[in-house]
Amino acid sequence: MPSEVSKFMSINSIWYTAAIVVIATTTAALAGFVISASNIRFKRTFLISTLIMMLVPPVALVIPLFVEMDKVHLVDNPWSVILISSLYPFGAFLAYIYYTTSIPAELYESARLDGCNDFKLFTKIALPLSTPLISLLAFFAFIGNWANYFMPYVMLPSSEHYTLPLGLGFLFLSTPAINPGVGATSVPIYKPEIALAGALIAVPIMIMFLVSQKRLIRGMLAGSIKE
Amino acid sequence: MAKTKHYKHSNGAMYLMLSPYLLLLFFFGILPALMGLLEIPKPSMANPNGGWDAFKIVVHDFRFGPALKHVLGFMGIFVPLMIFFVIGMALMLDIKHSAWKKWLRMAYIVPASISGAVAVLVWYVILQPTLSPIKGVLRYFHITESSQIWQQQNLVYILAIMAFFAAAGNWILIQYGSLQSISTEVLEAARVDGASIWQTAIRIKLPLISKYIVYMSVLVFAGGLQIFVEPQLLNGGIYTGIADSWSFDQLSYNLAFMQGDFGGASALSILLLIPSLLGALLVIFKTDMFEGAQGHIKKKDVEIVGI
Repeated sequence: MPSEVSKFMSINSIWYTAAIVVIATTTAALAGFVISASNIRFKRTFLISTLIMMLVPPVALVIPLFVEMDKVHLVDNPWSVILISSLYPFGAFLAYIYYTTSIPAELYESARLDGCNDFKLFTKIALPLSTPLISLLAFFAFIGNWANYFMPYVMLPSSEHYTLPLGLGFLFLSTPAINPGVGATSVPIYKPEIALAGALIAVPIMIMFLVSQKRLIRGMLAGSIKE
Repeated sequence: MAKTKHYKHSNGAMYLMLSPYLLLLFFFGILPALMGLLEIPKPSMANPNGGWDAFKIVVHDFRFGPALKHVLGFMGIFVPLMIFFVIGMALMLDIKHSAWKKWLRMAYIVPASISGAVAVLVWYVILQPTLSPIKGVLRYFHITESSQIWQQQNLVYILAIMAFFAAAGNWILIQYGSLQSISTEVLEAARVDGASIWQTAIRIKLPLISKYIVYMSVLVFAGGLQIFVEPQLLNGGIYTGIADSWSFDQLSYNLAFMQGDFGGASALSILLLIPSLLGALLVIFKTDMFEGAQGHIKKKDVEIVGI
């Protein structure tokens, strides 16, 4: 992949993924906190719809999502991918479980008696105790979106918005190094360059796994650690 | 009275904090599902009179039967392989003082990093007789030319292997987490009663994590049904035409973006949603995994929820 192309694709991948991780993690943590610490109406309906969304793969909704994005003129705009991918029902449910099991309701009650309003309840009580949860939410949001091919493929037809996985897919399509059907080309792309492009996508995930696996297992077990 | 006032006051701020997620859930979850339903009866080239015949038309499409056969064959390999391998690996990782632990971890982390487009690239290299790091194995099976590998009847196996290696790592991590949540008292009692590692695994650990296994099975099934990236890249990038409309998602994509038949594509999407939704309802109502959603939560039952 010529260096300038791989550079802008890397930048696209980094900023789309970073935006998704931030939005998805924040919204999911807030939702989990509210459901666990409040007495809002339709809590059960909300939880059931979140659970159903968790189990329904997002690609099943891609056609109506495309139509929806087209109506608001967001097709071929990175925000289409960022906003769609920021819906993180698994994260919301995980946050709900975490807050329900890790922070006793009595703590919220005492904070309220001490004059804490609900925003402070989150920022001063829940958030400082959420480091394992935030790591876990950010990790899974990163893993799920860094290598995502399908949604950018559908929503971002212009090559200037391509991400690294899309770029790699484009290489498959356009170089005789992989696909002899393409015929001769002047593009200086051979198998080593394609392997390097693959490594650009795989290595960050591998590093994330290696760096965070211990913390992840601790985070997942919050609330009921093996004694 | 005071309590009521307190909740009224509290809930305004709580709704405000919940609203960003609710907006995402509505606009990118609930609304597209409703739009998909409304799109189906609209007239299109395939369904000029409109109406719910879109379902019939899409099922009778000449590509639907082959796609069904491919996806069923793929799922028949992918789903059981995932369930048995993931559980086996997680159980092995959970054995204390295993000398293999470090290597087992690498064995799931490395493939999990290689998904989607990269997985296609890696497996292309592995299976290409001239490039493969396992040339010897391929030669043993008398495979010396790529045309012996890249045949339509082999795609079910190749795609199942690709999807398996890409998906297994995350699930091993999660099931290992679920095994860690089993109380040491229970395991100690089993050991005192003379249970072997094998008996502990089968009779103690597996029943205690059964709900997570059901949950994983449903998600693996739903994910497998939606296979798209791997056949799409193989079809367009490596061997043109080898996997055209191979899976349901590819067919849905082609209906919408190649033929402009959004109604047919939506009908197919809804058909695909049905088994996933049934699976979701099974997990919610037939296991105690999501007791929290039923109004109360038992601490011991929510140690971990996987992905």
